[in-house]
Amino acid sequence: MVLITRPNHDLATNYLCSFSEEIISTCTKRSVKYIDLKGLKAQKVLFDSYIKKNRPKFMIINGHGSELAIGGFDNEILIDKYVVEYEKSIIYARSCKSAAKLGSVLVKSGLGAFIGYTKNYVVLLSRKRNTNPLLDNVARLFLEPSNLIAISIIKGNTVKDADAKSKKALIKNLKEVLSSKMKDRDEVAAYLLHDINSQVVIGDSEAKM
Amino acid sequence: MTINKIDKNQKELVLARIQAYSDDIEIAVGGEKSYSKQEILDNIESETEVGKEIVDIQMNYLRDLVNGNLYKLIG
Repeated sequence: MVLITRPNHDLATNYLCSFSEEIISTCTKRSVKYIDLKGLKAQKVLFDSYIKKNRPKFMIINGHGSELAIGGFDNEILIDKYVVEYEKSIIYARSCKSAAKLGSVLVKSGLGAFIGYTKNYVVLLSRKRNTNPLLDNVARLFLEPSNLIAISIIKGNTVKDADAKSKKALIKNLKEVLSSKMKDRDEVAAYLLHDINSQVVIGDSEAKM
Repeated sequence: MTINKIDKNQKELVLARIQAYSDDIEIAVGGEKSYSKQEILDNIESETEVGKEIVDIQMNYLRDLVNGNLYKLIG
């Protein structure tokens, strides 16, 4: 069982929400059961209720984060250090800084593995495309490799392998950007490098669904 | 960890680099907020946390470019 939260209350979360469709589609193709807390549904009461009832093995959390919390719709806190019901599960947090402290706290409380970012998770967007995120090829350079983390785990890979596949895709994109004549190439490259360097695995790197 | 106060030379360098970029790019920070080019420049000028982090990211990139680490990474 997979649980995904994907609030869409502003431009940034709307991008994460739209690109998460690929993850949902992987679940459907592979007949993996999933709970999709999209938009307003990404709220604490529903989140806690689904976790208690279904004990998902893998959770993908999109949204605003800090060193000690990850949010849902309108940044309502969904996960913080006080919740310990994730025993042996895997969390991928596509949010800022949550791997700096929260990831370790959750793993010490029994979570199997946590993948996230030690610093701000940054994505560059094209203003011309921001009404239709899936047509934004600049954002795609960042978000497709991050989707690979979730997709690899859903396909049965270990957390370590999922992290490696995602970083390999980011490096491939970085290489292509640097050897291209695209506009703002140095800007895009700087942030791809930043995301590669801040993506980490905490806990059991051999964990799988 | 981001720097406490932005070094004057680094600030000028990063501001000049960002001014050269197109107006098409926005930066989305962790599902929190997106910043236009002008908002990024303003954040660096005002030395906000976001501004400091942008300078940090840009300087790390330039260091890795100069010392060859970037090219080692991409093979």
